[in-house]
Amino acid sequence: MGAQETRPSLLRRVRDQHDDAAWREFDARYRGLILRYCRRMGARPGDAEDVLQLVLMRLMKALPGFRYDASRGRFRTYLGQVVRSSLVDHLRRSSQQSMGAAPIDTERWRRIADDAAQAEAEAIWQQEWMGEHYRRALETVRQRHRPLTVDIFERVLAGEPVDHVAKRFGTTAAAVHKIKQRIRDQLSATIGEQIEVEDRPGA
Amino acid sequence: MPDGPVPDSPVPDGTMPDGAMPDGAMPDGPMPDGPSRAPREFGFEDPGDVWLQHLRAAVGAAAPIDRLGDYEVLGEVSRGGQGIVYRARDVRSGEIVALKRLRHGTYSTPTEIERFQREVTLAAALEHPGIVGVRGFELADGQPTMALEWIDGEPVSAWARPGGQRRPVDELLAVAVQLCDAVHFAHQHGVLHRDLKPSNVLVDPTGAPRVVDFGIAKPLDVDRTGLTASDEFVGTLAYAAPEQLRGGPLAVDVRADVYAIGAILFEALTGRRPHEVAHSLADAVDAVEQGKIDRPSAHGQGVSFELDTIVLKAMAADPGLRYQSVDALREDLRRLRGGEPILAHPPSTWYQIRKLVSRHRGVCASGLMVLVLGVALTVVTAVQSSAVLRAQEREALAAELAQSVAGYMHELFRGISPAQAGEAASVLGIVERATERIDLHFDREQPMRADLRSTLGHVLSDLGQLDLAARVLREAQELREAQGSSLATRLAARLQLAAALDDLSDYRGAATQYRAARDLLAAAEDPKAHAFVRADIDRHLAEILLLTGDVATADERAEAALAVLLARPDAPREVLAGARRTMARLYAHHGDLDAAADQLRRAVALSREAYGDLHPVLAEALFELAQSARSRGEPEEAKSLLVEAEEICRRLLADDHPLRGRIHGIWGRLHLAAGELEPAKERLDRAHDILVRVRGGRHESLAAVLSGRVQLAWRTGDVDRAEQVARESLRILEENAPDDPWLLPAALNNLATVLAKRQGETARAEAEQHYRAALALQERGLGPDHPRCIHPLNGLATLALNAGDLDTATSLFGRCVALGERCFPRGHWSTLVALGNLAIAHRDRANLAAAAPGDEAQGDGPQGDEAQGDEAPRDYTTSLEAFRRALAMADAIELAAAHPDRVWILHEYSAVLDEAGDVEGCLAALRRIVAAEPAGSTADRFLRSRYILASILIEQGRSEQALGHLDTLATQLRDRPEQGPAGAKMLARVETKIAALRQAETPAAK
Repeated sequence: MGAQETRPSLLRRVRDQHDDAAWREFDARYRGLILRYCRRMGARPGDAEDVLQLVLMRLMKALPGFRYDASRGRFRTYLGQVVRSSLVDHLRRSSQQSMGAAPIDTERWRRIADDAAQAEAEAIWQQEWMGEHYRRALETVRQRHRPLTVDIFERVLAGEPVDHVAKRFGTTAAAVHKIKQRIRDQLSATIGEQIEVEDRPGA
Repeated sequence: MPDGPVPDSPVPDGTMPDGAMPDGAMPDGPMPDGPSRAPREFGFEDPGDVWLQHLRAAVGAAAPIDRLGDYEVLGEVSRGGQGIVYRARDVRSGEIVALKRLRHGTYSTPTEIERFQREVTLAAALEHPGIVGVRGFELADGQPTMALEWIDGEPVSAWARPGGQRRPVDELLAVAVQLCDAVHFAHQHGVLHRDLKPSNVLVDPTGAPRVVDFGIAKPLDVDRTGLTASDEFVGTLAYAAPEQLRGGPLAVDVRADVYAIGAILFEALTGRRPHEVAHSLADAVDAVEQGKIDRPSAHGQGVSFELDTIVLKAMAADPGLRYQSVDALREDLRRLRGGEPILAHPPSTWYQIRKLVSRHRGVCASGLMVLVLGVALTVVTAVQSSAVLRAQEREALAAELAQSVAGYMHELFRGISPAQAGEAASVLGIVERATERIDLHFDREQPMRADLRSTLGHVLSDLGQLDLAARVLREAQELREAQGSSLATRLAARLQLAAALDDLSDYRGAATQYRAARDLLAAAEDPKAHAFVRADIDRHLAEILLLTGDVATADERAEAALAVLLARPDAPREVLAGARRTMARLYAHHGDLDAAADQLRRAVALSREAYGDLHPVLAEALFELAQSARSRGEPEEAKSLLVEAEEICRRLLADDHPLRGRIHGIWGRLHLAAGELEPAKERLDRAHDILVRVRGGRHESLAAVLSGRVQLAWRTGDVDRAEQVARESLRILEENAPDDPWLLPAALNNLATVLAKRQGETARAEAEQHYRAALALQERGLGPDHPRCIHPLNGLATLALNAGDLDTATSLFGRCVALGERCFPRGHWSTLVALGNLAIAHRDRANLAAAAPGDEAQGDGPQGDEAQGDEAPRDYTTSLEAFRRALAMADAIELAAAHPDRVWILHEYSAVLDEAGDVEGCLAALRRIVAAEPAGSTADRFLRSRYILASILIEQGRSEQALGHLDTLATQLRDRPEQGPAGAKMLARVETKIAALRQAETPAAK
């Protein structure tokens, strides 16, 4: 019961201390990504929320005023590292509380397992990060187009063959193709811009 | 090896396409110009709708698929790490198929997709009742999709225990035999499965196993990072051979599939995986690598001891201890079902002996140990696998043999030098006794007698006993043929014999055996399956063709062999290394030394991978690379390679092994080039001794040694001996390689060079004839721009120079220099000599022009009068320039200061400087010679230069310096062991000069 209550209050306290628009934006932008990632890595919903808080706290400590220093490399890579280590730390802590110390592997076992697990975790982070950008870009692009165009594209996105879509909307396959191309180009440009903003130091 | 133009077409090379691919990395940060674009990995630039797939996955809109290409999707069957399988109908034919869409990202680059397509094409060609047919392949929405024959079957693991109750063992064995049939069939067609597991082996309602997914499994190490569901990964792991976990795709061969079948059988028999690991990936990897597997009988009822043995042998951690083919495994399963004795036996005596040999290989300096153990091994193996003897007899005989071998080994390790002759005799005695014994025991067992002879022949040839080896191997080959042995066995016998004959320089005999082996392959039921063997035969044939002069066919064969090997990622590294070495010989033959070196470096790396750091084959590859370095004018590189090669030989091969002789030969020539005559002599003598004694004095490698000896004799002034050696080498080569553009010209050049030193018109004319013959052979065989043409050109030019034909001489030396500079941009000794000679020819022309101006003036009036005076200006500019270029090259190639060629060039240079009036320059050149004189030397060239130096110093009034040199000279001349009349005369003159100087000095001092 007590543990349940600490979560929102902790977050609130953190927010109160650094009431900064940048942080709020960060939370809005990355909350979904971090939670999704933790869930895919096998964390339960409550654990994922805990990890998110841990990540926020660590970032605040490491990046006062959320000024990211580009010399550390790409922000997404850095964030991925923080998220992964937070997840591991969190899971270790909770497993130690519940089951006692984990059995000791030999050095070699650990290395093999860790390498594989690390590569896997990185790949999933990359996937989720890409997914996040796709979703945001798609949202932006949807708002730029007329509803009909959006509807046509939604059908294509749902996997309907182009000629079916054309028939359904009473247009030509060429027109559907054109829409597809345009949206593709806009998505690419939008994602490019998003990443530019993300990588800009001190954003 | 002959060193030697380059086919311009690049060799197809597996590494090229990857290297040439733009790496998929995206640029850092935004693009400087134009609108932003998403990084590459988002897939917007990829062909097809890759981006749409990504987007779909991101928004979570799983597409409702009802149609994929030409297939109507009827429903989803399964979803796994590799992809999704649908049940679908081909709208064209109405046939029901299994449609497999590979997981997105499994093959992402065009290269990967192409490779995948290639493999699928290969697999699709497999028509076998036990292999699920591939109906089609396409990229649907940019995702690789395969249509497979629809099978109503269940995974073999489920089929094995319907309702939790295991089927009878014999029923399982029947399925296992059929599974082996199918997999072996694929192997024969060059397709490995690499990912055999119960879910890939479906048993249909008639009880027949059908194998799915041939050729599409990616190497495990790639999958390891790609798989997200670790349960599935552990599932794959349980059937993966240890070498699959350790190494990349190259580490995997048919034996990995043998292992997997063993694992599947284990599971079918016991209902559990060989490595039962509950959670941890690390546990699973470790268990597989350790290869600790329970006997199936420990977990399953009714599993016999023999069946345990078969499964454990199939799953041995060391691939070398497994069945070497799926066919062999099938054979044992078949024998077991038929109640015959199986061939597998628990790893006992022979394995332990082999281990012992590998541990003590370094100790077996003479190789005799290898002989004993090799024979013992064959005997023990033969005894143990004998179907005729009863088990008890087998064990007893094997134990007895093992014991005597062990006893002998202990004796050797106690410090007895195995290299001693007596020891050798006793070893041969042991071999003989073993042979008799086996012939006695296995009177009716012809294959074993042949086996024994093969091993014996192999070891004997390793020991350099080539004649004996060839004899024994021919016996083995004839036995095999007479017995109507299997194709593989007869093939092996032919190839072994061919190699021995090749070593013996019996090229015709070797070629006959290689061709016979090729015919065997051609007559095989399935010639395609032996692509690697054929490639290996072809490259050996290419080498023989090269040696016997048919270069065009040699090129063709070698290139085809390499192309076949490069096109197949599973080509064995040792075979590829061999093909690269052959290509190197051909490149060298055509004069492209850099391309040859490149091939050889790859061959060395491949040999290292294939054989480890301590193996005769590696030593041979290093030796060839050293030869190439020497030919390229890189003596230091050559030396360091030779040091490693020699160390390997020292530890593994007999002292008189031919390879050691060849290494001595190249060392000798390196010393010779560096002017180190003593070590050169020692090495060349050892090489000569080994090659003449062991190889019967009729091998190509002897030619190089003979040339070295000619040069050595010449350098030490023994012209008679040099001529004798040169005539001998010419005779040897005329007999063996009358059309060879390499060997014979070398001998012709050597002899001509010696003859040119001789006095008299006869010798000169013969020399010219030999040079011309050599040049003609080389120009015809190698092309006029080949570096080898420098030598006879230089010789002809020198003859012209000595005969006073200066126009011809300058023109020919000019050609030599130009050719040398073109062929050896970094400088070469032969260019240096040509430059020195060119300088002399120019000098003589200048002298001639000055001495006989009338000749030239006749046509051109006015010049004649001008040059009438005594001091006609002599223009030595071109001559001096050539001398300076020569000396600069001597520095560039780091020619020793005391090297005779540097010394004579400096000497002549000083004389021309003196003539040109540059006294200081002249003195400086002479001082360089004197300073280079090795302590204790009494060589004429140094004495002469010192005498001239002193004389000029006297003229210049530098008496004190002159006196110092004259004193040194006097001492040297007196100390000379053999004082010829010329020496005595010189001493008298020196003493006179000293006296005159002293006299002039005395009154001045008073």
